[in-house]
Amino acid sequence: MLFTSFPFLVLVLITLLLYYAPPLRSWQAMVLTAASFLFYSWEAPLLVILLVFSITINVVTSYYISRGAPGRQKFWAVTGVALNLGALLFFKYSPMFARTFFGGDHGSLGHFLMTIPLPIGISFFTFQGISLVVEVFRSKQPNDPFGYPEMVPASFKQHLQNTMLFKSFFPSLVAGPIIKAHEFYPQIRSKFVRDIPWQTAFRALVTGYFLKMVVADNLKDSTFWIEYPFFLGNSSLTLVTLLFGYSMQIFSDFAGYSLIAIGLAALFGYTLPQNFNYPYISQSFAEFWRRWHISLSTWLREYLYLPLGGNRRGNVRTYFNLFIVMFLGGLWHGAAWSYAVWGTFHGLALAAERLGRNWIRLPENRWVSVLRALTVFSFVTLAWLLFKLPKFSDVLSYLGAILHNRAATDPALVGHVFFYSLPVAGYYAWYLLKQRWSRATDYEFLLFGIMLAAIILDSGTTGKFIYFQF
Amino acid sequence: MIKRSIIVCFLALLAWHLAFPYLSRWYYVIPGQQRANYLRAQKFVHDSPAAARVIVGSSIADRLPDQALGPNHVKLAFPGGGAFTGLEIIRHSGRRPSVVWIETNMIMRDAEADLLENAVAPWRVELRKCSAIFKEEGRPSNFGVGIVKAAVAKACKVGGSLADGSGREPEAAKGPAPEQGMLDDVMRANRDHFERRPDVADLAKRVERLAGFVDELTRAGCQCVFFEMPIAASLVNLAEPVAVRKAVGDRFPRGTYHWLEFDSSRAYQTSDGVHLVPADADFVFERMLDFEKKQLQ
Repeated sequence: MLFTSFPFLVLVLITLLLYYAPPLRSWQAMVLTAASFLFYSWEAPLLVILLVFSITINVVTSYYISRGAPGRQKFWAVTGVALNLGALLFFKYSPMFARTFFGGDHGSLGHFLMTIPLPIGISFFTFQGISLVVEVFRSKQPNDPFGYPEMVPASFKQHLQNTMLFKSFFPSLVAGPIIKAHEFYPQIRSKFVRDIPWQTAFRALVTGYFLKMVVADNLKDSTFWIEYPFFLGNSSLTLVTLLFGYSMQIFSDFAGYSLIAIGLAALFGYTLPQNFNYPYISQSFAEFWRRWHISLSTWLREYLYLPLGGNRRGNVRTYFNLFIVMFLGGLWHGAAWSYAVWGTFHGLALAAERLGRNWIRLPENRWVSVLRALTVFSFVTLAWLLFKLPKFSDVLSYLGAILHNRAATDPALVGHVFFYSLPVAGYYAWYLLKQRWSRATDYEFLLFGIMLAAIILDSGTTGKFIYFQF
Repeated sequence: MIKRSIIVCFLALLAWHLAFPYLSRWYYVIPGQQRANYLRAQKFVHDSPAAARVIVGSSIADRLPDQALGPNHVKLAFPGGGAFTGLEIIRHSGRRPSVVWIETNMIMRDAEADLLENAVAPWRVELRKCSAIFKEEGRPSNFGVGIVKAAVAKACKVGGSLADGSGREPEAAKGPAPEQGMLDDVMRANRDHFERRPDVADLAKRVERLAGFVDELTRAGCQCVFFEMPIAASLVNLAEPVAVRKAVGDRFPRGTYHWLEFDSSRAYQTSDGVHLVPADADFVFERMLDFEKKQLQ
């Protein structure tokens, strides 16, 4: 079910009514869980089986880590993580391994593996499950440096109920933000209408729907020309413009989705972590990853980079850790080697940047900052090509076409991309203006009013969220 | 803040509703293929004549010349779609054309759900009746994109002026025509597509679905005419076209149903193997007009 669809609007309204109905107050978690299951199963009911399986793994293992025999904590933690990863590997990566190592002949193992469907949102709810298992395990260790709160109640039934909600919470179920267990469990309690942060919800929902429906969905109609073989007939200028347009589209699509999720969660009294913090003004790749898909980068840092040793084991090991984290982070995005190449590109950029910091000292002034931001943005944009064109040969053809195509530039296509990229530029400009002019917020109602009108008048044709495929 | 934002939104809608009819169409464009499809479908639902002659099909039939169609012909041929999209729009719009031309080339494609919802969902139809700003042609971005397009055209010194001010329906941005040297890959992709043999059961189901539409339209007094748009000779006898041709031909035999046949010995020119060049598209449409005059009541 899409956030932008009519059935979804009906689902949210009915769920809100039931959720805040006084007689059902003690059933709030169940109401929200039931709505989440309906949301998840809307187009493919059988997917619920996998979600239930994933919930079961995490409820049982986290419960026994917390409440079972102390000597068996590690066993349950390893089992929990292994089963989570096993499900992810099986459902998400089987087709990729089959394509790489087996043939696709009918009746063969390769063909069987290639036909395994990718359950929507599996990457997101699996990572949330791993965070539960790991955090409960860490909280039980003596001298726990993380100071996680108690997340597992004595009652198994209560833990089951809480975990069902944590894993299936529909605003973030299929495309994040990835919530860590310690961020979510302490929020599970009775909610009241008077506690709804209306302003937060309104701002997030209007901005999110604007970015998704007006910017991303309109840009989508132009950026489809990036696909093979359509790009072959376009000029160099058009191809470069399309690439930058796709950069704007993917930001608007994913940041829009995250904002909608944050706004929806606020309506139900939950706070989700910020997922995007104006990433395209980053002056370094390290900063980019502190601003882009923050919930994933913090997850990778806490559960992969730091356990690997982070930057505490010397330079070589630090570079290796950065590289491996970004390689796996790339693969997390999609079951194709192009995503691994994309992650490797970012890993190498992070390592090179770290290395270069010791050798090159740039002057600190506004122009250098702008130049650095433009450089990072351009490289990030170039790398998005690997997202849009999962076949590596198509990426090379596209780059070749940029260099060699001499077709006439299509002003309609360029104009379309440019026009719908303007709101993203405005979004960033407003953020920078607010930092310099505190009274800017007094006039935000004008922007929100215009964004609302644009959603009504100028939404693009419906398109699935790009990150659903991950 | 929320209340003030909603008031601003309402005022913006009102201002646009009042200003829209008076705005010059000098800088105006329908950006993108998809939105051009929406515009065309909405025009059929809201503005088509009572006994229109409708052509349903894919991008292949979309090549039939807009200028030659005249007020009585409506083209519900959608790039990216097939005949089922147009047939579904006719069914749900409540309009009953006098003639429906059914392009059979792309019946393996389903009706496009989003386009259908946009064109005929009752609440959208009612909203569009209230104000033209809720139609595709009423989007503010049509002007914004038009202005930017004109600036780009001027900067790149291509395409001349964006809009010619003639008052003609704005042409959709369809992307540039590919250079001849770059068409090999496109041809290969088309060949790959047409070489795939369709699933027999699936094809049979689609043909029966088509029969359901034809029966319904015939009962409503509409005359249906089948036609297969000519494509490049190198593609015409590949697996998919052959299978579809046989299945449709068997279900709708020539003696019982109207068929417009094209001279197979003629070498039709296409831009990419499947889409006719303008001169040949004109020729095909002339044949259709001729057929209407001689064969249909």
